[in-house]
Amino acid sequence: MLLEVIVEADPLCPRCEKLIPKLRRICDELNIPFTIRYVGGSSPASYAESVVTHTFSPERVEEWGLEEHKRKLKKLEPVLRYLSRTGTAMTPTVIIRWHDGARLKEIVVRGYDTTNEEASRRYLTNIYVLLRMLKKVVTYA
Amino acid sequence: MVYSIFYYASEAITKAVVGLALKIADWLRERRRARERRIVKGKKKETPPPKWGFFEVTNPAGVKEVRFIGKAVRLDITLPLLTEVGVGRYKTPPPTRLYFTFAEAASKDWFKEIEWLARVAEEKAGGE
Repeated sequence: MLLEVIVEADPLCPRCEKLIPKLRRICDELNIPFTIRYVGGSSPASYAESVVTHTFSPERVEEWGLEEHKRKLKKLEPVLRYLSRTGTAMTPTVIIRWHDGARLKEIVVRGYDTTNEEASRRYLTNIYVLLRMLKKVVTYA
Repeated sequence: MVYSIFYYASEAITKAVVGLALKIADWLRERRRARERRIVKGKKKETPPPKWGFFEVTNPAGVKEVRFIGKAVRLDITLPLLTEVGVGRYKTPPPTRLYFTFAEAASKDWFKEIEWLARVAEEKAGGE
């Protein structure tokens, strides 16, 4: 079964630079595949759409959103358009993706704070615990 | 052995009360089952993808792609959808995604939030 960790990062982002080695260490320890996808404006893969651009796009709500989201879309569309512009996307984005036997499931965590050391330690602990739990579930499913 | 009128009267009353209670319990159980059956029937079934042909899909990353699967030949080609070409559309829903911010992921109640969100997502996907 599939379990992988993907980090969507910007090559010029200092937060990504600090987070990536720590996450890589966690994944190496748990033996989970770890991939970095550079999505910043200066990367050659920047034309590709990703979770970073998808979160706030009105097209996604129109196509896959619930009825109540679609109803509220009229008022929120200008705001969503503004947020989905390049530059407002928050990096790094950590995607934990696994397959539970029926379909793909993802947990997406956006952003990382380098200034608050305690919060970042708790964040990494939470991610470690979650990955360890998922690894057990996915391995024995 | 001779039974008095009080014995028969009390027996009849007890039978009536117990019977009524059992009937109410049955009715409640049946109503609950009917609701469950209705919910199961209301679930949307995902249409299976075509086994061969030229069609448009949404990959697990949520990006649209054009895919060709051969019928007589063993070909499976996936191309990024860079232009709008007129191919038959088959919409694959993207994976179930739960979004969190750094502050949420760094909080102590993160796992409770994940459980709650997953439950809500499943209810929404199954009920409508």
